Amino acid sequence: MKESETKKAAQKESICLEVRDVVKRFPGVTAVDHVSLQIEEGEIFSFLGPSGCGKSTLLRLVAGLENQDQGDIFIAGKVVNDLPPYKRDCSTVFQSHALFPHMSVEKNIGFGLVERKIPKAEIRKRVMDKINLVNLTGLEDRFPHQLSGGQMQRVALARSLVLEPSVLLLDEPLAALDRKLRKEMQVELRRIQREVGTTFLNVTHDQKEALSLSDRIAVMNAGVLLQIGTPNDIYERPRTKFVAEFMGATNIFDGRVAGTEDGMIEIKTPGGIRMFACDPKGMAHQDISGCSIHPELVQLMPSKDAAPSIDPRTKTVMQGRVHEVIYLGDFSEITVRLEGMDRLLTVFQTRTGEGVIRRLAKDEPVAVQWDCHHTNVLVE
Amino acid sequence: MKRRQIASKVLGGLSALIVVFLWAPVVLIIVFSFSSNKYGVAWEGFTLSWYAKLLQNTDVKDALFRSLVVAGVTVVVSTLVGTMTAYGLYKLSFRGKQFLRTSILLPLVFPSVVTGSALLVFFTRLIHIPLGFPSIIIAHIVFCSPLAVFIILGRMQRFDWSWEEAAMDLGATPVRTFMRVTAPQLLPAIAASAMLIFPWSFDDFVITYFVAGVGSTTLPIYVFSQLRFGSTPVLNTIGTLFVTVTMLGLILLGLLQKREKR
Amino acid sequence: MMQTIDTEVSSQASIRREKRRLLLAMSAYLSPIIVIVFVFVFAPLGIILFFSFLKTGPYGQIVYEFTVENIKAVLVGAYGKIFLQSIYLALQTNILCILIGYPISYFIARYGGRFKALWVFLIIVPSWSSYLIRLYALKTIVGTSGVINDTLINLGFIAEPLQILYTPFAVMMGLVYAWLPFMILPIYASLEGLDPAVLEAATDLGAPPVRRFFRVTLPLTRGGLLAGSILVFIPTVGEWLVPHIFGGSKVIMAGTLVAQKFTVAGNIPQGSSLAFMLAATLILILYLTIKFGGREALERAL
Repeated sequence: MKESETKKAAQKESICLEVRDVVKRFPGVTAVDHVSLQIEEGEIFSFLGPSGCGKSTLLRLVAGLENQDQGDIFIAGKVVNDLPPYKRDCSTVFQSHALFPHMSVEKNIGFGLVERKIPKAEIRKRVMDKINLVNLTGLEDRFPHQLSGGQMQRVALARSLVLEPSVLLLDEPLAALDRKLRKEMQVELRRIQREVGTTFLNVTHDQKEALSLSDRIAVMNAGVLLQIGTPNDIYERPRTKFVAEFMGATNIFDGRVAGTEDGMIEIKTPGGIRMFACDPKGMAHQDISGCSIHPELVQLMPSKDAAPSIDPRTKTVMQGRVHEVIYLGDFSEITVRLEGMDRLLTVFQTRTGEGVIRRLAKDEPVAVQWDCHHTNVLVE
Repeated sequence: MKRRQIASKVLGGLSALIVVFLWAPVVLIIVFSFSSNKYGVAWEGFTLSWYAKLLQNTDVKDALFRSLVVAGVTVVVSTLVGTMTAYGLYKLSFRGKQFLRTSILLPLVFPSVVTGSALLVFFTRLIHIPLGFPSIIIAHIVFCSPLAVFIILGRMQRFDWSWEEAAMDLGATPVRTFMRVTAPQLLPAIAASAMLIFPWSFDDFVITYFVAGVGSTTLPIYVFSQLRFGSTPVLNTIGTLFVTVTMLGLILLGLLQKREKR
Repeated sequence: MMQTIDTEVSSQASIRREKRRLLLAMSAYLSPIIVIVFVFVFAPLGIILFFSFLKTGPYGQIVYEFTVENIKAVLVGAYGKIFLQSIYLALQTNILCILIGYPISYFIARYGGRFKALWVFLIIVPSWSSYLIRLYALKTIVGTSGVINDTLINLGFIAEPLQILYTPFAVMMGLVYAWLPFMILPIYASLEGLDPAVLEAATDLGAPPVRRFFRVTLPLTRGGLLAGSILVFIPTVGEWLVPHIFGGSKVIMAGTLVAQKFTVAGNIPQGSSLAFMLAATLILILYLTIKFGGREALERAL
């Protein structure tokens, strides 16, 4: 008994931020709908979702810039519900970076330290330390209007980091940057986080960014928390239709469990097609509403090249006709009209499959197949 | 393209004409203030004697002093009130805000006789405020504050208020945020309103005339009483001073705005 | 179960807390202006309304007896006619200011280029300095022995000096002279605020310049026109100085009447009723105009 208790206590200490059953309503819409989660110390955690899903609102609730209607928020174990933002142990990097235009880079970064009444010499030391950390050495006397977008973002980051908060909140910090810069900054952010060790709470609508940056991701939509997991979890095994679509697994089949066999379950679509998938642990069979498969995991070949008979419990095979081929450079997107179903299947064919693509014409009969182990089971 | 040139020439000509029309009396005043014509209505020869006479005239000096004091106090109080009000109006939403905003507009646009007479009756019959500095200053604050409110409010509309959130997020209380972040941003607007209110108050005649009572002569009142007797060169010198003061204020304002744009 | 009750109670408490915070903030920031508006604007208006209903004694003192004489005089008597004339004159001035002011604003906004600030400066300075002296100077220019008449006589266009002064025309000229800049600035501000892309789109869709002006530019600057009209019309109705200087005793406006009653005649009740009716009319007009969206343009103008 005692050992598990101490283990639990130790675990509790390493939980940096906890959100408990938080609700926030605005006139006409519930922005955050009974969300609960725990974030561990030192991890990069991302809220991922489309615009308007409530992720930014949730972030602002944590920061104290809004107050929730219900629920509690704990930072480093302390309840912060009634604390104004300047008393909470967290710091925000805003999307518009919100640098003070009338202050130099150095003064901007030192802003919070001045509020803490830290002596000037010490402030300068800490500020210069952070300037070096974010690679802005030499620019400390510049003013915001003299900086580029990426530089401004770094100043904002340094400004928040210098306060050594328990958790650093980032509100779509890279959204305003162009693609190349965004990629660079993602790498930078990871590096900085690893060096400083602060817990990062990142909000983004960019799936790739969340995947590359985060230790764990929480997917949200319409104020509801849909799934929490590692990037691998979220991508390989999305649990709801929304999450699957959002992560790119656009091939979704509705269906119900028709039977189980040897650790596999059989899913039957309304149209009568049977598919097999691995029996997922922890999901009640009656909750299962369908399955999905990522386009890049589907193999495509002309019908005549398909193997004659395959055990449906190892590979799912379907017949169809080519609907459209879109060439995208590093890969091509092929949509196939499946036989017997009024739907299209999307297949990503990389360059190695060039030979196949060149031979395909519209309406040509093709066969698609994929490994049953790759089929992902969905609940609603 | 040709049409455009014609249009710009025609419009330009019209504008130039109007500017001349607006400035003609002013220019004449300035010119004649240096003329030795006794009535100040024609050019007779250069002289600074009228300015010398001005410096010796105690009535004028008294009136000037009063006007300066009134304008000075008015500027300080009005910009203060204006800043607070603009801040409150911009940030807070409450029922009756529309009503308040329109009400604030009233003293600014009302005919001077209306505000003047209403305040006079008010000062003498309801709340007994002595006529003189107190009544004049209060009256000026009443019709100058709205100007400050709207100038500063207008500037606030163009702000990105996320600076305030960032400041609070970084540990500054609302008061400190206002002092370190908001007020510096508002400074140009506050300065602009100060520079527009000063001439507005300094130059006011009608309202001041109503509420001044006996013996509290401001410069415009002095000018009016003298004008009864016809224009004299000394008045021209006063007029020139007025214009110079205003011009300086506006030039300063323009320079400030240019600096801030950079 | 307990937890849901707790959270519900806490959310009620937080709503109350928010309301209290709002009230505190409001009183902190807005108390000065509320004091000013209620004590020094509404109360005085209230008191002159009160005084409108009082009688005037034979020696000009106030007799505290209720009467509607004064109000009647304003509404139906001779004063009423003067009121309407003032409104009519103010309207004419307003329209004239628009006709003269709009082209100028347009010119500065469109063709001003680097000199925009200079033009604006040139227009503001006269209007912001020495109202009185300018008017008297203008008076001498237009007078029978003034510059204009002298020049016209010397050039042989006329034999005798024109009597420009002391006519409604002179008053309107004086009014336009005084208030034109206040029409130019708001219109200019709203023109400056136009998105050039909108104008380009209009041209691209086939509108020639003149049509584009009437179909796109003018409607979009409606706010500026409204704001300028507020700034010109309302003060003009109650103008005292300009009619006094340029119209003498020949042209009497509402403002002249009010001033007369208060200063020369010393008849406070009558003066009050006039002032109040004037105020009430203008408040009504102001309220109606703002309902049609003039306020934002006004703020932008500043």
